[in-house]
This record gives sequence, structure tokens and C-alpha cells, in this order.
Amino acid sequence: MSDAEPTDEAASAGDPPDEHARQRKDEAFARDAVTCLPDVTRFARALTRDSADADDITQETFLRAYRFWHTFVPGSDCRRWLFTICRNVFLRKTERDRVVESVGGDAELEAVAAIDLHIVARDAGLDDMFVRFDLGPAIVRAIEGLPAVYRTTVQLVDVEDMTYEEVSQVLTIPVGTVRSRLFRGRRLLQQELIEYARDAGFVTSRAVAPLTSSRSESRRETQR
Amino acid sequence: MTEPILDCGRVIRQLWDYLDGALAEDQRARIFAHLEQCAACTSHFEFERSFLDTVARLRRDDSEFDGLKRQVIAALREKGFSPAR
Repeated sequence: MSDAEPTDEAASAGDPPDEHARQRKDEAFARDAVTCLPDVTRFARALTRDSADADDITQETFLRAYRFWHTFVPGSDCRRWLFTICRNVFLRKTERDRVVESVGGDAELEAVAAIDLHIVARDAGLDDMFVRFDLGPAIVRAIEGLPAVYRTTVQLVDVEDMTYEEVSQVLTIPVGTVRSRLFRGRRLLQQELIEYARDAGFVTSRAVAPLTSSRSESRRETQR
Repeated sequence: MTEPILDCGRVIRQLWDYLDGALAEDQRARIFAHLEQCAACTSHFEFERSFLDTVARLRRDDSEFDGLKRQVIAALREKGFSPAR
């Protein structure tokens, strides 16, 4: 499996490359791996919520990837391979790999709940909020504020444009769990953004409707 | 088309999958057909699509990582990394 975490045994199995082979390896690494650095760093930030820690994890990811580059299958998805290493570096650093997170839920219920939130936005005059207003900085903050399980999934699917299957492999969780975490994460994100837009006075029309206890729900999620 | 028209509830339940390109072609076509004739579902679809477009835009500016990239390449060079250019 190309996404498997590299091992020291695998490293020692490789023969010392000659200069020409080393040159080819380094060029391939620069072309396929180093170009993914912004994506890996964003993912590391989603994991850590701390840019200094994220930079450390990114650097360690690339050092490790370089060391084990011979285990990468040419033509396979290098970015996904790097994300897998990045997550493992993070887990090793934080010793959270034994924690089994059972946060999930019903993906279809989340999808249905999404329409309720749209109705809240519409009634608050914010139907077109994502088109009309620059919410970029607010979205960055809102993603950072999501509980980790939702944050990493939203980051990989919605920011890094990965498929459910790819995220399932990087995070080693079933596709159904990816979907339910993703949909819940999107809902929490939208709740925060609707509140932000209302607080910032972005309302464009109609009366302001109460937003049903989104902050308290978000806090409850955070405490899990 | 012999397939029955989907009801709104079914469309809403599958809307994220539809937007994420995660549906089989026949399911996708049925939802598309529903959206073509249902203003309420289309309104919800547009709201969610604009949300996803906004989040996806976070990815566009990679220049902020140039400094880190130089730092990582310097660390790699200490491990022997030396591409031609």
C-alpha cells in the first residue's frame, strides 16, 4: 500500500544510490514532494492550531519523506502520502494515537440539519452572505475553532479538495465517518459564520431572527 | 426517463454528496433533474455551493509558505538533498 507509514526496516532495505540515481531522486522529490509544502503546512496547521508547531511538523514530515522517498510509489498520489506522514508525525508528537475518537453521527441527519441553517441565514437576510462579503479571515478563525476531528476533515475535503476515500485513507477512518464528520464540521462552521456576519452587521435584508443556540452547541462540541 | 422524480427530502439528504462529486452518475443526474425544476432546493444548493466556494478559496495563496519552504529545503540539504536546480 503506497500510503503506508514508512518504516526503518524499509529504509535499510534500499541500496546506496549512485550519484546519478541520487540526482534523479532529488529532482523527483523536489518536483513531486516539495511542491506540496503549502498543502502539507495547511494540514499541519489544521492538526495543531499553532503555526510554530505546524512548521515543525511540516519540516519533520519532509525530512522523513526524503529519508523514505524510495518507499513512495512513483505515479501514486504524493500529496496523500505526505498527508499520511504528516498526520503520523503529529500523532507521535502529541501521543494521541491511542485515543479512539468516536465522534461522528448520522451523515444524512447532518445534511438535513444543513437546510435548517440555510433557513436561519435566509431569515436573517444572509442568504447571499458567502457571495457578498469577504469572509476569508473569519473562515480561517472559524476552522481553527472547530473541534479537531471536524477541523481535519473539513480542511482535507473543503480546502485541500480531497475525496472522501482519500481522506479515509489519510485519517484511517471509514468513509462513512468522513462524511458525518465533514457534514457536522460544515454545519458548525456555517453557524459560526452566520453569527459572525450578524455581529459584523452584514445583514442585508429583512428582520434579524434569533440563531438557535449555536455558540453553546459549538462549545459543547469543543469540550468533547 | 423512467426513474421516478426524487422528492425534496431525498435531494437534501444527498446534496453534500452531490456537491462533493461523490455520487454515481445516475444519482447525480436525478438530483440535477430535480434541481432544474425545484426553486427551493436550488436556493439551498446555491447557498451551500457558495459556502464551499468560499472555503475552497483559502487554498489559493501559497506565497505565505515561501519562507518555510526555504527553511525546509535548507534542512533537507543537510541530509544530502541536492536537486539540479
